[in-house]
This record gives sequence, structure tokens and C-alpha cells, in this order.
Amino acid sequence: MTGGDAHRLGELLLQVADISARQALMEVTGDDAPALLRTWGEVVEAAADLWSALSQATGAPTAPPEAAPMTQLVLMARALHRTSLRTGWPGDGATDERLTRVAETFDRATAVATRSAASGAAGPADASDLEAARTRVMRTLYFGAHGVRVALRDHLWDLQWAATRSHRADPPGLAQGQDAAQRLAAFEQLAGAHAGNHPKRIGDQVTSGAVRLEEALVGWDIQAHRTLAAAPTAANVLLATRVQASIATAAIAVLEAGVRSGRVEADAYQHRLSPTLELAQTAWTQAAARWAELVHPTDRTDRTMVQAANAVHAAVRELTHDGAIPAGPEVVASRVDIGAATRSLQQALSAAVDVAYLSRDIATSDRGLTGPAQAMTRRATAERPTAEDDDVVWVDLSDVHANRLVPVPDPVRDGLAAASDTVVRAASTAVSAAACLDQTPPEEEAALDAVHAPTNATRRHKQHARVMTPTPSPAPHP
Amino acid sequence: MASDVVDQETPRTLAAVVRLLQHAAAQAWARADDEGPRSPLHLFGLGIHTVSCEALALLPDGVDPGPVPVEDDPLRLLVAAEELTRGISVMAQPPGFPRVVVAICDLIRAAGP
Repeated sequence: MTGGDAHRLGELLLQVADISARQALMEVTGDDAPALLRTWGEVVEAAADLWSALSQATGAPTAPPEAAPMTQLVLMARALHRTSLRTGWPGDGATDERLTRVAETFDRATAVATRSAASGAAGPADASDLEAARTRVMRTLYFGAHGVRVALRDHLWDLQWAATRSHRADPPGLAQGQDAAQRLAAFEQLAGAHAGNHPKRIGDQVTSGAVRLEEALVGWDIQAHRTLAAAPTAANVLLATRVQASIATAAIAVLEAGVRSGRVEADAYQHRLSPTLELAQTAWTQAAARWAELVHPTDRTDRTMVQAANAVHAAVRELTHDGAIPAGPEVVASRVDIGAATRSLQQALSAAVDVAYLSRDIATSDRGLTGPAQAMTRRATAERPTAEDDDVVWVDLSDVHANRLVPVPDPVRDGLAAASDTVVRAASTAVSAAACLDQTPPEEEAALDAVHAPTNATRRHKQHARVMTPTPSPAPHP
Repeated sequence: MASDVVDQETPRTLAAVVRLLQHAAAQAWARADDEGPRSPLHLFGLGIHTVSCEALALLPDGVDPGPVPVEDDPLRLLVAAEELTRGISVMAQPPGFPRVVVAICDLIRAAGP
């Protein structure tokens, strides 16, 4: 085999490993978690062998072991394996074929690199080739670690749900699984950083349940206000409206779980909470559809706001979904402290009113709003189909032809303002309806506070609430 | 061993990924709006939209994502986007690219049976 052949074969094998790890990530379920954990150490050891062989094959200087990122990852994986042996969890059993394939592919690539080095077929060290190969190894480990972690997360939800149904307080494997999930998250973070990711960002939390939801909602509220004040673009308002719609949908699901667990009165949910939240959700989505018309495919959304939205998406999803379908109320109740989640969502609904006012202000007052000419023409014509406007050209034909960004025509702005008014009214009504959630008996509140000692996030939330709520909102337009 | 070199096609490929994601989000939301306020597709659409925003942020300024895809099934659009990302060279991948790949794979898994 020539040096070129070895080079191409090695590259192909690394591509196979990369794709195998992606496929595992797209397929894993909670049931796979034990097998994935049993196999994970083998993958990391194989990656470390390949890492070493790559250095030898290219004649690259070897970094001190303590400085090499792979050394750190191997130590983390070995420590996880030792804990697994010590605790007996997940114990003996099947391994995962997909991760085994990744490890075997790494082994084959190692053999190629080693043979190439021994035969002298490898050329002089090529720094970019070595870096590319190592980045691909790291990226594969990043994909793999994420897959194992999400499968483990789903497995832990399943354990908790099974424990709830059987009235067991401490299901076997739960504590060990939570520990492993935290350690895999650290591994994933480190591998991701070496694979080309940014350092730790908002939304990369490893908390779960009510704490994660609370952190996400408070973070979102703060960031939405900051971004809409500093950069009131259509793309930013679109994201804000869609997140608010998803929060309303989440509130419906969590409050329904509250009914099943006795934390929310069924009558109030059925006749006040659910209808008003549905109206608010619909108002947000209808406004979002209007804002979407103003967004050009190249328009960027504030990156920090996107991260905050990601955090809300992840926190809501882990509580309210089972795969692609909504989780049942009993399942939601088994995953989260319903009382704490309800309080967080109630705060979020209050904050939503202010976001609604902000977006309405942007719709009515921001003269810098623009939109693609073709969409603006369609919307303006749809808004003003009356005879007296027949001769009005809302957008210059040359702009329509080139689909340039143009100032938002008056009829489009009027439509946006009307949709935003509807949001303000619906969001305010939802907050009024949610006031009934405050009627928790004082003795129950005290007992809950004793059980759920305030977290840092809770304190931040309360501090934030003090900042956000005193501002009186103007009355909505009739 | 690997010979990944800076690939001039990367911005174009990434732009196509962005367009697929943007259209997938729009289609998911259109279906969600039809289904009503409790539809799980609202959250699914939000997840796709935020990934599209992250992918767009990886593109150089001024790169147009191009025409709207013909396909209108959100899951198929996501699968097509993931397959396109496989063609982006390791050495040409912009910072943050692996996270976008993982997010797309997460959405595909979440939408699966």
C-alpha cells in the first residue's frame, strides 16, 4: 500500500466513524442507554489509540500526556467505567452495535496508520492533515457522547415514570444514572470544544426539571427584553413571538398535569386557564406569521437571544414530550415538581405581557422596519383590497422585481399593529386567569417551601420579578 | 492521514443547509397552526428555527441561502440538511458547526417514531 493509499483509506475510515456516530445519535432511545454505556469506554480507548498512532505515523512531536486533550477524555471515560464496576450499574449485558462499529472503525484506522508508519510509506508530517484527522476523531467522540447522554436522559425519565407508577421513591439505577449523565455532559463539553464548538454557552445547562425550566424562562425573559430594546428587527420579534407561543403551549400541558396531580383546580383549568391560554397562544402564532413575512432569508437573529430560546426549547421539551408526541399529564407530573413549574410559568405569562407591548411598540413606531418587496406587496394588497386604494402602488415595481428590502407599507404596519393589539389583550387576559394559581393554601405553601429550599435560580427569579413587575402597562387599544 | 483542505464550496453548502432548515421550520409551524395551540409541532418548529438561526450565523455576510426547496415535509428537509452537512470539510467547518450538526440530529431523533 502506498502512502497515498493509506492516506485515503484512513480518511475514509474516519468519515465512516463520523457518520456511524451521527446515525447512532439520530436513532438512540432510552432503552439503549445501558448498552451504550457499556460500550462507551471501548470507543474512547479506540479513539485514544488512533490519536497516538496518528502522531507516530506523521512524525509529529508528541505533546506531554497531561497537556493532550485526548488524555483528559480517556481519564474521564476510565473513571466513569470504574464507577460503573464499583456500583454494578448498568451491570453486565449487551453492548451497542452502533458504537461497537465506531470503535472497530477507529481500530482499523489505527492499524492503517501503524502499518503506514512501520513501512515508511507515510510522508513527512503534515500539520493540517494531522489536525484534520484529530478534529474528526474529536467530533466523532462529541457526537457519540451526546448520543449516549441523551439516551441516558430518556432512560432516567423512564425510570422515574416507572417508579411513580409503582410508588417507589428511589428506583434502582437512578442515582447512578444521574451521576453518569453529569459526567458525560462534561465529557461532551470538552470533546465539543476540541471539535470546533464555541466554549460553554447559555442553554448548555445540565440541570433538569423545574430548576431548568425556571432558569430558562427567567433567562429568556431578560434576554428578550434586552434584544428587543437594542435591536428591534423583524427577525428578533419573530423569534420572540414564537417562543412566547411555545411557552403558552407548555403552560397548557403543565397545568393539565397539575390538574391530574391535584395542584390545579380542574374547574379553573377547564373554564378559565385552558381557554385563555389557547387564545393567547393563537394570538402569538398569528402575530408571528405576520412578522415572518418581514424576514428575509439572510436576516440574522440576535445570537444571545437564540441561545436563550434554545434553553427554553430544551427545558420545555424534556418536560412535555415523549419523542415526537406530547407526554401525557401523568408523565409530565412524574418529571417535574408541578408546583414549582406552575409558579415559573405563571411568572413567564406575566412577563409575556411586557414582551407583547414591546413588540406592539416596534410594530407601530419603528420606522426602520423593512420587508422583502414581494411579500410586502402581497400583504398590503390583502390588507387594503378596497376600491379607493386601487390606484395606490405600495411598493415600487422595480423593487418587487428584484425583491429588495423596502420600508414596511402602511397597510402592512396597520395589520401588524392590529395583530400585536390582539396579543396584548390575549396575554393580559391569560395573566388575569392565571391569578387563580396564587390561591395555594398558606400552610401548603410553607410546607412546599420547606421541602423545596430556594435555589439560586429562585432567588434570581424573585429579584428579577421585583425589577420587571412594577412598571404599569398602558391599557390595550380597544 | 486526512487531507481536508479549505473548501470553497463550504459557504454554498452551508447556505443550502440554512435554506432547508428555514423551510422546515416554516412548514412545521404551518402544520402546527393548522392543528391548533396544543400541537407539539409549535415546539418542533421553534427547535428547527433556532438551529437555522445558528447555521445562518456561521455564514459569511451576504451569502444568500437561495431558493425555497420544493419538499414540504419537515422531517425530510431535516434529513436532507444533515446529509448536506456531511460534505463540509473538517478543516473548513466554521466554529460552532459541530453543535449545529448535533442539533439537527437531535431534531431528527425527536421527530422519529
